[in-house]
Amino acid sequence: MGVASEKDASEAMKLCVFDLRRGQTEGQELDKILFFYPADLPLSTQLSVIGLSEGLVTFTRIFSPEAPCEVIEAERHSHVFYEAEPDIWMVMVVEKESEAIWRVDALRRVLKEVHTLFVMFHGSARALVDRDPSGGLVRTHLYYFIMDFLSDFSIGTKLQLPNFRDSLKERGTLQMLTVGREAAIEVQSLVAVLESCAGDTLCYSLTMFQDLLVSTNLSPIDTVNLFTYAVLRLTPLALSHGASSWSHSRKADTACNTSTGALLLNSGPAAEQYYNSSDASPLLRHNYPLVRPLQHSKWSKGKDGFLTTDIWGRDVNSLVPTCPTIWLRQTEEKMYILAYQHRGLTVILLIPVSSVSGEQGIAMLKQQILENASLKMLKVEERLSRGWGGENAYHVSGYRYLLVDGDRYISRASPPGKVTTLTKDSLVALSKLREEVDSIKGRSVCDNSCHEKDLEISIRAKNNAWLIARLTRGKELYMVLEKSNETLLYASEAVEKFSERYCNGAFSLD
Amino acid sequence: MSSNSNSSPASSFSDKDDRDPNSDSNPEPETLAELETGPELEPNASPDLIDQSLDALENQLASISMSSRSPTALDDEEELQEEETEQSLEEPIIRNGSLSEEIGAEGSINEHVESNWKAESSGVIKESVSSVWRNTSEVDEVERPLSPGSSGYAGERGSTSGGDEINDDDEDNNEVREVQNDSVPGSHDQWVSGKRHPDEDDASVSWRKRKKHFFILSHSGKPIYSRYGDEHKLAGFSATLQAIISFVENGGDRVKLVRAGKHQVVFLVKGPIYLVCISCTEEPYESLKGQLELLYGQMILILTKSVNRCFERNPKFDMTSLLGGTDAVFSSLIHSLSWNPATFLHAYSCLPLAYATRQAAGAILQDVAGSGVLFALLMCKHKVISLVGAQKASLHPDDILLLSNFIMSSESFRTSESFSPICLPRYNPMAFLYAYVHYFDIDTYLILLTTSSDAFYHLKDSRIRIEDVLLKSNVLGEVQRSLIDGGMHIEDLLIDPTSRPGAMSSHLGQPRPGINSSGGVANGFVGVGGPAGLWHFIYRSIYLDQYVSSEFSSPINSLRQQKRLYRAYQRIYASMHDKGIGPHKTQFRRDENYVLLCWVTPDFELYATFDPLADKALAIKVCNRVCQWVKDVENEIFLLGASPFSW
Repeated sequence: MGVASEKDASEAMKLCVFDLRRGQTEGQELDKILFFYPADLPLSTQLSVIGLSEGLVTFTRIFSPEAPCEVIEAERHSHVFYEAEPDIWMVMVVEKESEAIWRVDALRRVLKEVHTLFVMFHGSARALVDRDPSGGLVRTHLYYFIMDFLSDFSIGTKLQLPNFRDSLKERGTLQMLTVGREAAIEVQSLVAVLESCAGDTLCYSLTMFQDLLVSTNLSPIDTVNLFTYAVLRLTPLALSHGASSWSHSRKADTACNTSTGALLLNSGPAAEQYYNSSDASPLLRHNYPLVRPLQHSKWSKGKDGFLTTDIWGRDVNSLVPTCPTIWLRQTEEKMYILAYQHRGLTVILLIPVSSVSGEQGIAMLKQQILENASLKMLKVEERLSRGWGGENAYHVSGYRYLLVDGDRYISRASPPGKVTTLTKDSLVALSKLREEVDSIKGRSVCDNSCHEKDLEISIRAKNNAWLIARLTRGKELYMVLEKSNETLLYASEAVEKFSERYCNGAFSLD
Repeated sequence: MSSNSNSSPASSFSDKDDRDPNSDSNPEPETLAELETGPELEPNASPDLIDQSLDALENQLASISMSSRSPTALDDEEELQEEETEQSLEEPIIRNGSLSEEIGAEGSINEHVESNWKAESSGVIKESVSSVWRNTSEVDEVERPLSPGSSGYAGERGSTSGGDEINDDDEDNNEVREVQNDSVPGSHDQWVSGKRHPDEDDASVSWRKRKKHFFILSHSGKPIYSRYGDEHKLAGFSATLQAIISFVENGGDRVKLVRAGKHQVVFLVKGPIYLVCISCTEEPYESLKGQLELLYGQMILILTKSVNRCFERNPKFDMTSLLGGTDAVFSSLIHSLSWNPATFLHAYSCLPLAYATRQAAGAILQDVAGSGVLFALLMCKHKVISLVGAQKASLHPDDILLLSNFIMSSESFRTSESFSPICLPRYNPMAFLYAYVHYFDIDTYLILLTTSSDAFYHLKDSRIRIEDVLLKSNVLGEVQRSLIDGGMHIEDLLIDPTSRPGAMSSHLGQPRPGINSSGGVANGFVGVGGPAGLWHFIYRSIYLDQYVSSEFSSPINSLRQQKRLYRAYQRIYASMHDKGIGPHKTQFRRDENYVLLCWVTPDFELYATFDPLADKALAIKVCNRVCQWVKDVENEIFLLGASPFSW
């Protein structure tokens, strides 16, 4: 992990967050920068990236005031824009190379994900800016949060962003466990018991089996956020691998932790230099209570079955770790997270901070749960694991597919192990097809057309694979059929069969 | 200026390696031979070289709009250009070395040039300075009365008239207009050419809301052309575009596309010329980029690529003057980008004609092509009746498109026989050819292209011979009849193939039976709105570089529907021909408007449109029948044996 390898990573990707309400007077431009990766890039280069971004946001507003710049495609780079909060922009610059065939929407979803997670833990960036107008607070938080987030993408010395090989995945969606009727009833009664433990206070729960969602009473947006975090850091796989899980398969799991450390070690001092040199907000001068929810290997399972971490600090007197908290998007309420794990089962309970009397209250609640619900949890886990078919549970032989229910933020796809059997050509072609569908979807969003897009595309590619995209009533189906018959009718029939059997006929024609 | 015109420095247009020193068509071989040792020239000489070619260039431009100008106007023009020459002599920048380097880079283009052309090119360019002028003005004097005050461009006629919005292709307000008669060929003819909304600039709300902008600017940010608004008022905006391009360039990259909501900003850099399209028309990037390429090609057709030297000499060179009066050419090209499939298929279409009729036309063109004519084209509007190239020379479909657009949009060609320098960008972007153009009637015109600048009278004689034959064999009459009959009507698919008249004596199997004639309807095979309702198709023959598009019929009646279908074809074409992974083999696409079926083979491409509820199996059957039908009548709808783009 020398300087050279660090440079590789910086060559491949840049990510910045900037605030267009800051630094608008000449000479103060640096003030706009809230985050820049890689931090050791010369300030002039950082400023030029942000200058171009700001320039194009302004320029495109001439013609498209409602939806300014979304992407710049240049010969060697793509610049992906995301306006995370009013006037707070995130821009990712990726280099185009042979393996780097991106789908812009997939990259934008990465930006969206890191931002929504950030808000879940720290509140909005704007609020942090307002709280400390020097910018120090927001910079510190963004720096550690995004660096921890990016470390999940590092493979060896490089950041591996979602590319064409992830064409049959949809970031920012939930993967559900299909459960039988009886199991569902048991889960339901478990949830009821858990809620009763909290007494009168309104609490939320999210039940997962392995990396799959079983049940929740959270709003869809909060569900996606918490689910994403759980898969990243809380589920048994996340705990054992530190970072990776099969549903977010990443190669070279073992490399993750080491390279993460290296990344932070290498860029840490550089960042401090930067923050000092920009003099707007020396990182170390302030003593912010720093919480790094995405830090690796910080969660562990306690003897009582509850997951613990000292990310949120420890009680000064008792040295008991402080209970983690998040903000709910829906209700804008601050909640304690209590996560209980038994084998494959993870139950996350959210209790309003306002309704619990500090750490003591939490301890009491834990006790209650252990007494009243632990047995039920054992039973539920047993039932679910009996019914579960393992990693390849949702494999449909002959098909490679992705099914997305946009209204409910749910997706299901062929297992990653099966997707890797597809040829590069098929995956690239699918990636391009999805790009095209993305733009068609984008247009119907722009039109505010109340009727949802209905679309069917079947392509016989050069390599004889069939690529299929179907949109109907907010549901999407993408499919690759390799080694299949030449005729269009064959391909249509294959989709029809799939639709009948696995989608309740959602994509059937009649 | 005239003092320079007889010296040889304009030879800088041609690649010295390609020149045949033995050519007797070169009037001053010795001087040229000296000049061929370019790098040995003293540096001071080279600016003259450049200036010469520039003057030649400017003169070409002047001569384009020459034909209807009075002699006094000519004199004025000359004075102006002389001033320009003097001025430019004072600021020589480019050394000869860099010049020949650039020419060397163009070598590949020159390779395609015929040998006699190589020999003549230098002489032609050199002489063009004066002789083209002479020719055109002589033509004027001889052939027609002068009409002072008109520069000959359609665009200058009433371009500011208030009612032109209804013809604005990319705006919505024309889209309610229904075409009464669906068999009217080319209903887009009602479109008015010329500059639109010249009073607007980037501060106007209306300007910002235009659906599709095109800009040409120089690398220093000077506006050259804008589809909407006054170029001069758009100087600030133009500078912004330039700043974006150069900012990215400074970072070692090149900007291609910016996307914002429904808007796309597409950039194309061609040396010192920048082209930009800002559009919310939902066309794919590849299509918009192709359109900018065509726009650039159109500019090259008027100026040749040697216009780059103007910028080498003076980066702040203002090119608007060079393109003065050509608004109509660009606006008509931009208009065709929204209806003419040739613009994205890169293929040309032929006017349907009986085989014998086309043969007759081809024979006489062939006859003429031997004697100093590089290409002979007989065209009806934008469709080819016949075309012939001299030995080995071949014509790219894009060149045909740009040439016919140039001729049809320039009013002067209609009113008199003309002899005008033009450049075929795909053939040789560095050099001018000379086009003799004559309209036989309002739609049908002849183009004879030559490398020789003094061939006017020879070509005039050739034209008379051609006209003679065309009249005798009634080709022109057949052309008019074809215009009325139209091309392939999908209703004709109703006819059972076996019962279709084998001899094809009537036009493409016409007279057509009514919709409710027996056969088709009984089959339940094709019917408007039926389960396999074929609405339209385009068939492109790969080897012939030609395509045929069926006539629009119900329910694709209105211009709005036709344009929407055109855009759908454009999208599926781009989707099928992805640069990295394409071409795909088959594509079936159903949305709320259509079913589109596309089939690409090494021989042909078929794009067919059906009712959105069409049944797949039936649609496939219909496609097979369409292909068979096209094969059955290929003698009549295609120009066979011309293969203009294969060498």
